[in-house]
Amino acid sequence: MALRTNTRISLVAVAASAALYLVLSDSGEGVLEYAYVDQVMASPEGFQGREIKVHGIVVPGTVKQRKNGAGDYRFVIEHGDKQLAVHFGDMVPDTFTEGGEVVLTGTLDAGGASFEATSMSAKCPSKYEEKQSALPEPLPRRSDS
Amino acid sequence: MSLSTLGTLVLFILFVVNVATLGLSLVGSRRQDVRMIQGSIRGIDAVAGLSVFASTLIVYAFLAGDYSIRYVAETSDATMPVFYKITSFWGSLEGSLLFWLLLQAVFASIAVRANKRRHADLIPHVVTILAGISLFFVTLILFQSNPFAPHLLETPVSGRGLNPLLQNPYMAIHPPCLYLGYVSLSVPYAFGMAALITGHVDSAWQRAVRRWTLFSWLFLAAGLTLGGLWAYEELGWGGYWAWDPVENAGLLPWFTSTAFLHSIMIQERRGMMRGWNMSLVIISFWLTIVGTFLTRSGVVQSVHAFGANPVLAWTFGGLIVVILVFSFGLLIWRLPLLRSRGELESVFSREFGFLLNNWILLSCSLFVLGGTVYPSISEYVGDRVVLGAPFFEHYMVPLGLALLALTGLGPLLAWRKTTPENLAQQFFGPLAAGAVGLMVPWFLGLRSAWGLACFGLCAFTCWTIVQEFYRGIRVARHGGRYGIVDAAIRLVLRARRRYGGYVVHLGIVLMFLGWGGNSYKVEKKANLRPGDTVELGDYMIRHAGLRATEDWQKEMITADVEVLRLGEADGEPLTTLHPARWWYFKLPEQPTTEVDRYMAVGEDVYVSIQTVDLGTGWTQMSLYVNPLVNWIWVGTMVLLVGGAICIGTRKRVEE
Repeated sequence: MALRTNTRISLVAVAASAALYLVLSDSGEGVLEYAYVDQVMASPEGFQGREIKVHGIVVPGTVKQRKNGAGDYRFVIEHGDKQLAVHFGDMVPDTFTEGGEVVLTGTLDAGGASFEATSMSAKCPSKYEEKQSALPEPLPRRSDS
Repeated sequence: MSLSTLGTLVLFILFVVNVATLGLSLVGSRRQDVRMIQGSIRGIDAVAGLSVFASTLIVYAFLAGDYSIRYVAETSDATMPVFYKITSFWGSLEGSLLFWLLLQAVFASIAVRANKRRHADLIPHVVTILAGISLFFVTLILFQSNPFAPHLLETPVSGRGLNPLLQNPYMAIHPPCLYLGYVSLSVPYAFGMAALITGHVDSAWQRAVRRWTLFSWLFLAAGLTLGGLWAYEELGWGGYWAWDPVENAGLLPWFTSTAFLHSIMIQERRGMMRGWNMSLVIISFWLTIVGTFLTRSGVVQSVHAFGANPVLAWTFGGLIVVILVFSFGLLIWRLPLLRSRGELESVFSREFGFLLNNWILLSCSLFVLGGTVYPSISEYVGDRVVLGAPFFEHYMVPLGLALLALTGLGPLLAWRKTTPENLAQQFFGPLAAGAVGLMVPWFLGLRSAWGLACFGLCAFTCWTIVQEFYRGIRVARHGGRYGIVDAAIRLVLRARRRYGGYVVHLGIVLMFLGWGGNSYKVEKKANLRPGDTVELGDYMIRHAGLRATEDWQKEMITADVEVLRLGEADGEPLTTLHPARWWYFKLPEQPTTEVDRYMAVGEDVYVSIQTVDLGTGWTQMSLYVNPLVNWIWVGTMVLLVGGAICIGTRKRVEE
C-alpha cells in the first residue's frame, strides 16, 4: 500500500513550512552588498544606514595610526576616480599596506563622507596571481585547494 | 633533449593514444568487435602508464631543480625541503591538472581491469566514458596549461618557491585526498552511463560502483577535514570552516554521495528509487566538475582561487553543460526501465527515513551550491551581494541537526513499517539519553538553543548506536559461549556494512559534538606588552616575552605566552605557548601565522599573534577558547575506520 494522499500533503506542508520559517527568520546577517568606492560615491545615499562591503585601494601617504593603541586607523581608499575616508577601530592584518587593496565591512556615515569599518580583509600583492582582485573573506591567500 | 621538450612530447603521445582509445571503444562497442574492445582496454592502460611517466618527469624536474620549466620555477625553489618539492607538483594550476589526469587515468585502468569479466557488457561503454573524460584533461593540459612549458626568454637561476602557507604537512595531503575523492567519482558515473546506454539498469552496475563511491566519500571526508585542520592551525583566525567557495566545492559531492550510499540500500532491499540513485551518481560527478570550474575559472572570488582564466572558464563551463544534457538525456530516455518495483508503505519505515535523509542531503548540496554562485550571479545582473558565514549557518545548522536526528532515528525504524509497540520499545532508551544530553549542558550554564539541541541529539544518536551494538553482541555471544570482545568482532565481521555504518555514525556524532561546542566559543583580541595579562574564559593569558630568530628559509618572531587558571595569577602556568610569525625570505610581504594551542580536556586555548613591535614589545594577539573542537578530528578518524570496515565487504556483496 502506498502512502495516502493526506499523508503526502501533510508531509509536503511540514517541509514547506519548515523552509518558510527558515527564510522568514533569516535576519539578513551575513548577506552584504559589495561595491567599489566609485560605485558607493556615485550615489552614497543609496548605501547608507546598513552594513556594506567596500572595495578599494589604500591611498599612499594617508594612513595614520594612534600610537600604541589597539588599532584605531584612519586612511583614504580609492577606486576609479573617487575617494573615501575610512576609520577602522580594530587591528589591521599584516597584509594591509599603503597602495594595497582592501575590502572593508562597515557603514557609511550620514553625510556619506566617511566610512566606519568594523572588519577588513587586505589583499597582498601575491606573486602567484598578479591579476586577481581582492579577497572577500578575512583569510590569507593560498594558491591551491 | 630538454626535460621540457620530453615532457611535452610525452603529453602529445598521451593525447594521440587517448584519442585512439576513445575511437576504438566507440567503434568497438557499436560493432561488438571484441578485438577493438580489447584494444581500447589496452589503450586505457597505456594512458595510465603515460600519465604516470609524465608525472614522474615533472616530479623529477622539481627534484632536479630544472627552472627552465616555467611551472617548476614558479612553484618551487632550491631551499625547499624535498617533501615540499614533491608536493609542489599539485601546488598550482598546471600541475594540479596533470595530477588530476594521473589519478583519472590510473583509476580508469584499475576500474576497467577489476570489472572486465564480471561486467563485460558494460565495459566497452565504461571505457568510452572514462577515455572521454581523460581526453578532456589531456587536451586542456597539452593546449592550454602545459606544466612542461619552458621559459621563452631566459632561464632563471632559481625558482620563486612554493607559497609558504602551503608548506605545511596538512596542506601536502589535503589536496591529494580531495582529488582522490573527486576523481574517483568518475568511475561510478562511467558505470552508471554504461548501464543507461546498454539498458542493463538492474543492480549489477551499482554493485560495481558502491565501493568506489564509498572510497570517494571517505577521501572527500578526509580531505575536507584535513583542509579544516590546516585552516585551524595555519591561518590563525580560530576557526576551521568559513564557507569559502572552494571549501564548499568539496562539500557538494560529499553530500550527494552520502545520499547515494544510503538510498542504494533501499534499492537493494526494495527495488525502489532506481532512477533517483542514477541521478545521484550523475549529480555527484557533475558537482566535481562544477567544483573544479568554480576553483579554476575565477568565476567566484575565493581565497583558493587559481586566478581568472577565461579559456578554462569556458571549457569547464562547456563540459558542465555537456555532462548535464548527455547524462540526464540518457536518464530520461531510459526512465521506463528504471521504474520503482516497490512502494513506500509508511512514514514510520526505514525507507522513509532514508528518503528524508536524501532530501535533506540534496537540499544541503543545492543550497550550498546556490549560496556559492549567488554573489557572481548578483554581480552579473546588478549589484554584487556577498554571502558570509552567518548566512550559510542560519540554514545549514538546522539542516545538519535534522540529519543528526535521522542518523539516530534510522536504525530504530523497521523496513516497510514500524509498529507502535516496537516504536516505544526502541525509542525509550535513546529518548532518555537525549534528555540527559540536553539537560547536563543546561545545568552547566550553556544557553544556546542550537547548541543544546545539538548535544541532546548527539546523546540520542549515540545511545541508538550503543543499543544496536549491545543487542547484536548479546545475540552473538550465543548465551555466553563467546566473550564480549570476541562476539563484537564476530558481529562486525558478519555484517560489516551494517556495523561499519554504525561506526561511521558514531564518528558523525563526535563531529557534531565538536560543532556544537563552537556555539560556546570565547574570542578575544588583545594588544599586550611583556608582563601584561588578560582574562580569557576560565583562563588568564600572560605575555611572557618575545624572541627573534632565523634559519636558512625564514625569519621568525616567537612570543612566549603563559596560560594560567583564572584567579591563580601567581600560580604555575598550565603551559607556555609559542605562537609565532614567520617571514620567508622569498616572500617577505606575506608572513605566515604559526598558531599554538593548549589542548585541555574538552577544549583548546588557541593563541595566534598578528603584528609585533620588537622595540616596545607590543604584540597583537588573537585569543580563543574553542570547546570540544578536537572531537571533530577524532570523529573524522572514527568515521574513516567505520568506512574502512564497510569497504571490505566484497565477498558478502558478491554472494
